[in-house]
Parts: sequence; structure tokens; C-alpha cells
Amino acid sequence: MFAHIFKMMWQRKRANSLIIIEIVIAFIVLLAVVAFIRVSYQTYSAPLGFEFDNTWSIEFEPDIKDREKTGLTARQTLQVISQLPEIEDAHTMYFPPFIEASSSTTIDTENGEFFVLSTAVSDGAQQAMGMKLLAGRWLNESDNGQTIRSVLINKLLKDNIFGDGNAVNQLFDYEGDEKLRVVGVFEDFRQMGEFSSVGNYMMFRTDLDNPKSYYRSIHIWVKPGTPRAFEEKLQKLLHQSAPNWQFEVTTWQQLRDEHIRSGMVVRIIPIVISLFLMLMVAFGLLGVLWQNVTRRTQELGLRRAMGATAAMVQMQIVFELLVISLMAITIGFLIAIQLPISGVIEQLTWSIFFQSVAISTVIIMLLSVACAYYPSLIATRYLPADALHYE
Amino acid sequence: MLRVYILLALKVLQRRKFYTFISLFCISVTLMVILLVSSLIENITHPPGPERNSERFLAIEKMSIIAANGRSNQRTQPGYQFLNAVIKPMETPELTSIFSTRSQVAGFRNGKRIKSQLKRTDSQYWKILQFDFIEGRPFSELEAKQGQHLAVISEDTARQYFDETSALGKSIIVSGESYQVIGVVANVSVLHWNASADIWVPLFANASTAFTQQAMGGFMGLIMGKTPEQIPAMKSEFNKRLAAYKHPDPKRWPVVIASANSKFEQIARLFNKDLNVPPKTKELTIWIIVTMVLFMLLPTINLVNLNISRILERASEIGVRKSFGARSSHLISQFMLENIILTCIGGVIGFMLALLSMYFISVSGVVPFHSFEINFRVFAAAVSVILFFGILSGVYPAWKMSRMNPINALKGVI
Repeated sequence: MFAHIFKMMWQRKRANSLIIIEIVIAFIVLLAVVAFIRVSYQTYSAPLGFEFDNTWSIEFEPDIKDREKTGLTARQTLQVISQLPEIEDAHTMYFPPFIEASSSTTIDTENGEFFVLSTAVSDGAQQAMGMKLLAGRWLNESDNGQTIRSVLINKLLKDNIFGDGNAVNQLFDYEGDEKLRVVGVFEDFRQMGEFSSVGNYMMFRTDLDNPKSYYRSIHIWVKPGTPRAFEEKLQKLLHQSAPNWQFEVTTWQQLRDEHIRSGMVVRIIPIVISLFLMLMVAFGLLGVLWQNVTRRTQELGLRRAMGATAAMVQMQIVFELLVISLMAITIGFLIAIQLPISGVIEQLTWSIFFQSVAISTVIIMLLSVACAYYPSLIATRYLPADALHYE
Repeated sequence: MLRVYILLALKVLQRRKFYTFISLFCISVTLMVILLVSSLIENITHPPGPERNSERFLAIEKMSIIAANGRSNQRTQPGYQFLNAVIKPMETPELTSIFSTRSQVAGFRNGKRIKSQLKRTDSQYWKILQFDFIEGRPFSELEAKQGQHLAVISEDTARQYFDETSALGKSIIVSGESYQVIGVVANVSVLHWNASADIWVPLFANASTAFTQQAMGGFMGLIMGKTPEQIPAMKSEFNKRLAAYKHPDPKRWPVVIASANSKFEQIARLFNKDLNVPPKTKELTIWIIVTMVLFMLLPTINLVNLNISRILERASEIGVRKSFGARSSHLISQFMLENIILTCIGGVIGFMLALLSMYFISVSGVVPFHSFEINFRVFAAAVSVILFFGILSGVYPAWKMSRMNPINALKGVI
């Protein structure tokens, strides 16, 4: 039966061309949105690599002209606030997480060039952040005074530079004239948050005892349940220890909320718009099909007269639209497949593409069945007598 | 005749309410989205409020420094030292301003935390950006230089700190420092990021002047000419001065890149972060137009499909008219008129839906302090969208209808 309907629809492909075009566009729009959601979900669900509970960031303005004085003041501040009973731990970091600020560099290796983001933290910050160590060790005092600087790298960067091999204690070139020694490999540290793309990352050590060390934010781990109003007390203390400095206090949770909110707004708008578009297509198909069925009184009545059951007539109407949709999906697929073939969008891998195609196909098919259902019901109401009376 | 057509059109619309509903739904929803988007674009590119002189100013909001080996680079906002060395000596602009980017600060009132965005600015800032002062005044050049602890605050901030009473002369404490309020301005939409903040204080109110030595981070510059025609001259002077600028650590960072951008270029920059190339405004414009047209294509084809179904339904009516001598052009104009009436009704509904959703977006606070406006340009865009729909979705079905064979049409066989 399906083959027969396909033959009929193929014969009438010109008459149905506008409907086919409509479904082709609807399919491509849907595919784009589904793929976008799928890619977003993939980046969102990849491990963040650190925890953000009960962590606050204190940003300040360091004076690069007088690094020693800056370092001294910052160190004093760090000591003063570490003694507060509400604070369990305090560390320095170059940039706080969840904001779009970072240091970047390109690393040249035998396996190619890699774009790498980096930061520097004081000893023990990795444990405080709950980062996961996969190999080697964290940075500590034993890295003091080494001629070759020690560095931690994330798993992606390790895979990129060293492949499946061992990375610990290996060296790699950094900024042309320097070599770095890998002392540990961590799972990941997605500094810019869940919605940022997964990338290479490395972490240097900030030696708090070195007067030349430079950093621009202090991060504190407060006791669970510390109220936000603690900031008032904290600000007073900060102001006392460094009267000339401006401190900006935010919680990591707050920074993350901001990141998630702006990420969600960007994603929800296209979803809502495409929902409206799908609704329009559904209504349109319903209207067209309805009209179509009322015009086919003769044909459908005749089928009933020749012994076709109501269910068979109903099936014919639904299948007809399904066949049209399939033709449209095929065309849409051939158009859309150019994207992963050309590889314009890096994150659009074949597996994501095919998953999105499958999901979009199912949605369009369900939509077709839903739109054809009511008109097909009307078609069953035609009596053979109506058809024979026609004209 | 026209009256008859219009009456007929209204009758036809009432006949099959379901079709009318679908058509109106398509038209109004599409128009609503187009109106929202174009109002947003219009609002950013031709901002009302403090940034209303935007066609005369350029903003310097990003810079990057590149290491000698060309590999490593840092990219962030410009620093005061850089802006002071590059834009302050400029001769083409009438006014130049340096101000800090928004920073999160907190004040406390009866133990309750009040979150605000603070900007530290010079006095020129108030001349380039036209704030609406509800009461009070901005700080003067002298006050800014002396770094007096004065503050201009937004209406919303004033309400949070002092409820409905006048804020003038009272003091607020943010991040441990006390400032005396000398002016209250109307709230500024966060989308106008050159102007937007909650609290503005003089640049030098901060006791530390460490920032004056910093080449990178935390600041923005605005340069404004007398007329929009001065923009190219300002750009070339900026580039000349940029080329002459040396980073304080020239051995490590020999290359400094920045650019002075117009409002639309600032937006194009958001999508293209590479400062080495000029902002891709042309590409952005093309993208916007292509997306809009693609977005409208689907509802249009939908309407064409519906309209074809509709005329087939009226085959017998068309057959009668044809056999009584109506010309194709009569039928086409009648159908087009019907279609345009339908799109106009949909247009009015869409317009109301847009106003309603703008109201809800404003109230919900998704975009803080943003108030949508429909001005002449946005209205013109809406009208052209309606015409686009009315004509495009009517032409093909009308042409098809006019070619119907009267005999077949009378029989109802097509």
C-alpha cells in the first residue's frame, strides 16, 4: 500500500511542490535549532572541572609599576582575611571564573599548533576548587627555584601534545624561547563556564613568597551557610588593610548565574521563534489538507463504494502526507548535509548531525500525522452515495 | 466597485473562520517577531537617551597586546595609561572622555545588600553622553580633578537607598567609601553599555592612582566630533596615534592593537573578536537581512499554500464570474485586495501583540531598564513586511486563479 501511495504522490509531485518546499524549509529550520541545542547541551554537560559552592572572589587593581608593593599589600590582605572565622581557605588567581577574560597563547608542537588558555593560582587552590588530578601531582613548594617552570595541563591538551603517552615530567616549548615541565594532568578547568567551548588549558603556579609574583584577584572559601551580608564586614576589613585599594566582592555562584542566564537567553530566543514557525507550518498543513480532502469527495466515496474500510481511507490520507514529508526531508537532508561535509562549523560533528537529523525527522513525521489526522477523519465520513450523487 | 470588493472580502473572511484564523496567526506572529527584532536593532544602532549623539562618537573598548614572538597575546579593555596617551592629545574630536567599565559594587542599607554597577568617569563624559537629569547636576571638571567624593546615581538606585525622598545632598556608602549624591538621572538601558551604570563617581575619587599607570584593563574611551562627517578623520587620527604609542613594557609587548568603533561596529565586534581585522559590519548586515528573509519565507509559503486551497474552494464562484465576462485582471485585483485586507488585519493584530510583548519584556526585567520604542524607521519596516506578505502570498494564487478554465471551474474540477 505504501509503495502505491508513493507512486501516486510521485506522479503529483508538481501539484504538491509548494507543500514540499514548505516542509523542506521547516525541516532545515528545525534541524538547525535541534543541532544548536544538541551542541549546547554537549558543551554544557561536559565536566566543568571545579566546584563553585561557597567561593567568593575579591578583585582589586594591582599596580604594575610597583609590583613589589602590590604583592606585599595583597599578601598582607590575604593573611588578614584568612584569619576570619568565616573563611576556611583563601587563594589567589589571575582571573576569576565565569567571566570572559583570560590569558591565551599558542603552543607549537610536533602534532600541530594549539590555542591554550591559562591562569596562575597559589598552592592548594586546585584542591580547594575540587579539581580532579588524573596523573602526576599538583604544584607545590618543590617547584620553587627550578630553571624550567612547572605547569599543569588539562587532559585535552595532554592528548593533543603527547597523545596516549605519559605526560608527567615531559617538556614542551612555550612562547618560542622557553620550555615548560608538565608535573600533573587534571581533568579540566573550564574557566569561562559551562557554555564556553571545551578547550586546552594550563595552570601556572603563583608563588606567594616571591615578591615579584603578580595576581589580580583573591578567592575565599567561606564556611557553608555564610550569609551574603558577611561582605559588609569583609569590605571593612579589606578597607583597613589596604585603604587605597578598591575591592570588588562577588560570589562564584553569582558569576555563574550571570553566565548561565546570558547563555540561556541566547538559546531560548531561537527555540521560541522556531516553535512559532512549527506551529505555523502545522496549522498551514492542516488547512491545506482539510481543503484537499473536501475536494476529493468523489475519489474517496468511490473507494468506499468499492469496499475500502474507513480505516483504509484514513490511512491513505495520513500516508499521503507522510510520503510528501519524506520527500521533503530527503531534499532538506541533501541541502543540510553540505554543512558537516564542508566542516564550516567545528562543533557540528557527524554524530551530532545525524542525531539531529533523526530527531528532526521524527518531529516532522509526528507533526505530519497530527496535521493529517483530523482531515483524514473527515474523509471517512464521505458515504459512497455522496460520491455517486456528485454533480 | 472597490466598496463591493471590500465588503466581499470581509464576507469571505467570515465564511471559513479556520482559514482566516491560520492566516492571521501566521501574519501577526511573524510581524510581532520582526517588530521586536527591528526595534531592538534600531535601539542599539540609533540609541535614544544618553547615547543619542551616537553618530558623532566613537568608542574604544577593547585592546590587545601581542608578544614579540607573535604567539602570545592578551586581550581585554584598554587601561587608563593607554587611553590618556592616545586619545587625550587628539585634535580632531571636540570632546574626549575616559571612564572605567562597569564594576559590581555593593552598598548596605539596614543590613540589606544593594547591588549596583559603578562607573568612574571624567567630566567630559557628561558632555558626550546626554543624561536626563531628574534633579541635581553632573560633577564639574574641577570636582573630577580634585577627586571629590561626589556621585550621580540612577533613579532606581535613588529609590533603593532613599525610597521616594530626594537623594540630593545625602550620602551613600559603596565598597567602603562614602559619596555625596549631587545628581539623579533617569535609568539607562543595559543595552546602551557606553552610558549604562547605576552610580557614577569621579575618576580620581579613588585614593589610589595606580590605575593611571596601567596600560591595560578596566577602562573605555569615547571621542566625539562636532559633526558625523568627522568620523573618518577621527578614525585616521586615532590610528596614527595608536601606531606611535609604546606599551610600558615594549620588549615583551611590542605590538598594541585597538580600534575606535561606531555603535554598529561595536556590535559587529561582539561577533568577531579578532582586533586585527576591521569590524565586519557588512557581513553583519547581510546576516541580519538573510536571517530575516529566511524567517519570513516560511510563513509566506505557508500563506501561498493556504491561499491556493482557498481559491480552489471558490472555484465555482470564479467560474460564474468568468462566464459572465469578468476579466483576469479583475479577478486578480479582487483577490489581491482581499489578501491585502487580510494582511492588514493581521498587521494590526501583530502590532498590538508586539506592543504587548514589549510591555511584558520591560516589566519582567529580562533586559534591565530597557524600554522598547517604535519609531518611524521601525514602523516603516513593519509596513514593508506587511506589504511583502500581502503581495508575495497573493500574486501566485491570484495568477493561478485567473488561468482557471471557466467550464472546469463551474464543474469544480481543476
